[in-house]
Amino acid sequence: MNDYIFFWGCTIPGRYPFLEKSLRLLLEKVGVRYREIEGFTCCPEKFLVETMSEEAWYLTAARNLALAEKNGGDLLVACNGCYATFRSAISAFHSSSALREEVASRLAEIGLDYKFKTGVHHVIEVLHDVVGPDVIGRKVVAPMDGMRIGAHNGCQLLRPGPAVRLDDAAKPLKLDRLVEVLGAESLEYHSKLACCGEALGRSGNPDESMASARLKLTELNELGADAVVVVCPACFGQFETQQLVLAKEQDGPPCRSSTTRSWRRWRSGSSRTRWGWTCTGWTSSLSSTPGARSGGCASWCRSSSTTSRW
Amino acid sequence: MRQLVPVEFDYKSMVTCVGCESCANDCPVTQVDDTFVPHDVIRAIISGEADSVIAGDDIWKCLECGTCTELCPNSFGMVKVFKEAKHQALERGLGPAETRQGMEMFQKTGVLGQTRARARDKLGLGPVQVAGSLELAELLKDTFKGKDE
Repeated sequence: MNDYIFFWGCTIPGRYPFLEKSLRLLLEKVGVRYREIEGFTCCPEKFLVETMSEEAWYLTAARNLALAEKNGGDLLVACNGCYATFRSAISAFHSSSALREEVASRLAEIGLDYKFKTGVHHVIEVLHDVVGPDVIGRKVVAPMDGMRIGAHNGCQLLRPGPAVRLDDAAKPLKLDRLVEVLGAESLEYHSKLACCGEALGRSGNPDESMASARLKLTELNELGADAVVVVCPACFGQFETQQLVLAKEQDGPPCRSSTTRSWRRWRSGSSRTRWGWTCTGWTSSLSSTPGARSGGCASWCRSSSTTSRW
Repeated sequence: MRQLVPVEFDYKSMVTCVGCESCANDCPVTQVDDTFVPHDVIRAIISGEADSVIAGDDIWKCLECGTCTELCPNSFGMVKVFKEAKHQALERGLGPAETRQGMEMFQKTGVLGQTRARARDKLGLGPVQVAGSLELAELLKDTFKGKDE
């Protein structure tokens, strides 16, 4: 196992600390060790920072990568956005010596010596490729038997395919395997690879953002899914927030936003909430720690040629 | 035609489009918004109407999800073009308020979003470390020079 340095990013520790908590509990249970160092900033986010200034985007990403290199480890990330940023930046560094020289000389001005050696790994990658579904399966204490899951990888875990490379961009399987090893069924569905639409909400298009969430949630609802498993904190926020609005729109029952609660409700056999979508995590299955909401893990899908439009 | 397309746009790649429209078919935004026709945006730029595209709202509907790039038979997709158009808009002081606010926060603090300190406390998690902000500001001091005014 590599020497990992955890890069938490902005959103998970800041906005959804319960995701951080459940990841910490999970990684301890499955024996993934990591270190934490000081000095990281935003990865930085692509939609915003790369659009505003490519230079700032490359330099900020390189600085974070250089800090990990200086401390002798690879980055371990849980956020899809951070993952795609680092993988894309590394891909660009590897393909342009001019960019490498420029970045290295700018980093040298603040005393950082960067050799472009840092590796970046997503938690899903480590769980699937390093720990392995079988090992995880053996540690399950409360299987999610019979639960029907809509697995949602999120865009930036898979695309851009040439740079990110976590799984097959057209037919990803890793998240599905992880879902199924916990005892649940990972559903095939048409909109599996579709974007959650979160970014529309922060670029002045809230109605379209809502419509994107509705598309996926409606399809899964019709398929009788019990929950959505997400990987990315942005996807989590999108589905978690929009389902509350959808529930009101449909005049449906109040939505239970706590994952652990809805999972327990499901376990206890009470009826399914129409819009009871949540992120179902690993912690709820691997431990019974109270107060820890579901895991930030999850990328997903087993896409079949019959349902996929790809 | 070429002289009408601003140099920042990758004209050579843009004209490799064979018009198969698989990008538009599977673009998640076209599923929820009939008025959004991504390849029309590209066509408008090639036709020399970059200024009106940059000033318009449509470019901000691109989610940068990468679906079009994966599906494009020429591996081109449209993300790069939309990204450049958005960049040009921000350079001209245009673009959604949310985007500009986010960027302002990044420039000031080096991170995005507020921290829910009480929620962290309840879970027994320590405070979030933001020790790198000053060093990042130093690294980016020339990048953002003149943009704050």
